[in-house]
Amino acid sequence: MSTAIRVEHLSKRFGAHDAVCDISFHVEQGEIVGLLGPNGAGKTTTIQMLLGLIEPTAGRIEVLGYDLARQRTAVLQQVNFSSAYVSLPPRLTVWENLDVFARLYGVPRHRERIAELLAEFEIAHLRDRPVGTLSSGQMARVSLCKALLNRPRVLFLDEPTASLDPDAALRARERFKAIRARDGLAILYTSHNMAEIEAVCDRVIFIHRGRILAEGSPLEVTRQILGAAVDEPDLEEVFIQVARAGEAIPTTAGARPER
Amino acid sequence: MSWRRVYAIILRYSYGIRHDAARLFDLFFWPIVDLLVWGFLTVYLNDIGFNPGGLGLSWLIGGIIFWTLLYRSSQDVAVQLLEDIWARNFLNLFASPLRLSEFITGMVLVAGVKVLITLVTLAVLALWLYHYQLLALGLALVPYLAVLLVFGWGMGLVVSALIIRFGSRVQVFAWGAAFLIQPISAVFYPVAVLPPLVQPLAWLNPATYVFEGMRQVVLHGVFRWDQWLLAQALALGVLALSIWLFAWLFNDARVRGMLTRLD
Repeated sequence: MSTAIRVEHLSKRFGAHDAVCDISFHVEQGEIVGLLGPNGAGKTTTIQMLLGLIEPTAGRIEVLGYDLARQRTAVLQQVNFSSAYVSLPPRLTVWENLDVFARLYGVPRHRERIAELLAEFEIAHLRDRPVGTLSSGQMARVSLCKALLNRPRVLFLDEPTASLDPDAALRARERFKAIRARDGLAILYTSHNMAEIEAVCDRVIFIHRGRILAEGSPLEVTRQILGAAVDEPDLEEVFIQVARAGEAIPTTAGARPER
Repeated sequence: MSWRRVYAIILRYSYGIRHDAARLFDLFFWPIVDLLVWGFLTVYLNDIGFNPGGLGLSWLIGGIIFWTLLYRSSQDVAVQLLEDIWARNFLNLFASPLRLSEFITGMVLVAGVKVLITLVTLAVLALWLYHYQLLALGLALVPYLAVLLVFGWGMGLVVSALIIRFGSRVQVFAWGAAFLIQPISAVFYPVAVLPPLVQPLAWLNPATYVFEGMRQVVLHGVFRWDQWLLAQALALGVLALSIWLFAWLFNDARVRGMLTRLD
């Protein structure tokens, strides 16, 4: 396996506030890694730095062997993202939106690629509907089509199932795993649904107050935070413990809050 | 610069025009309303024999057509940017390989084409309703249009830069920025009527040369190339400064994390 994302000593300071503080991690090609943490932990800031949307204060980001700071276009050509908090122009039809992004990413034979994705996500019948007239579940599927248009080698998914009902969310998760198995892409995944993270991710990175609190498989992270005696992953309990501990929790890997 | 990505931006905004009635209003309705109001005022003033300086009154119609081109050029650039902010699509665009230069080029090219569509519409209507021939300006029309287009793009990019920096709370300038300079643009009156202290300011404004020059062409049939060159140089200067400002505030927004919070 080769390294898809390598983050070294990454920091972001907004005024006097350290949003992300000296974090280092890596994601291997073909791996799904969950980025977890309470609101304000620094997850979104980290992903946005990885997408070149926020300039880091310090540190280095390497994606697919390219230095993001110096080779932004080369990196973004091979990555993509989908977020529950970013939309597509509502008046443009599904096809028009995907047409624009296919051209931005330089997708070869883009008409065939769009048709293929619409069929895969079972929304071919919506191709001429304005995106603004779709249900939130349908919109999420269009957004995922956009995210897969350029056959990315790295995919950032920021709460991709936030607007989906449980059945649609389950099918989306199965799709992510199938796409990973088929295309071998690396996925960095954020969600507040801990069961989903346990179901989808090979490894999780738990962030708290801008620092990495724990890192490993869901079970390893659960043990690092809740204690070695735990024999089942329970990220929801980890999340609650960390969120309630707030400022009291030390932010060094392996530390655990008082129970 | 990738022209494929520039074309993608052109396509994005062209699709938007096709589906958005508000953009069609911007393109046709408001410019036509302006033309009708000033056109009928011209008819009325002609009927009562008002003919200051032997200039005739057709320059009022020419003035409103040229003024419309200037403010539409500025407005189109800024409103297109706003559309992507309102749609929460901005991050999709800039998380793609799109470069800022490609985004700006696509935006101004679409704005340019829209302005030319408005120009043709107004020219045909003015001819039909008021027998006003915009083409009577002859070859002077092309260089004057170039000044207005370039200056309008510059103003639009300045407003876009401010929107990137301060968010949509300054979006009102997308529609109103050009009107801030209208009093010193000599659209309907010569610079000479302005207070002496304000006149130097008016001559720093590229649009002033166009409206003054247009009246000179109508009155004396003379096109002042030296004045046009100065106007074009000023307009290009404004455009260059606006591109620099946009790029600077865009990068500043990336540093401050504001780019991801635009709404």
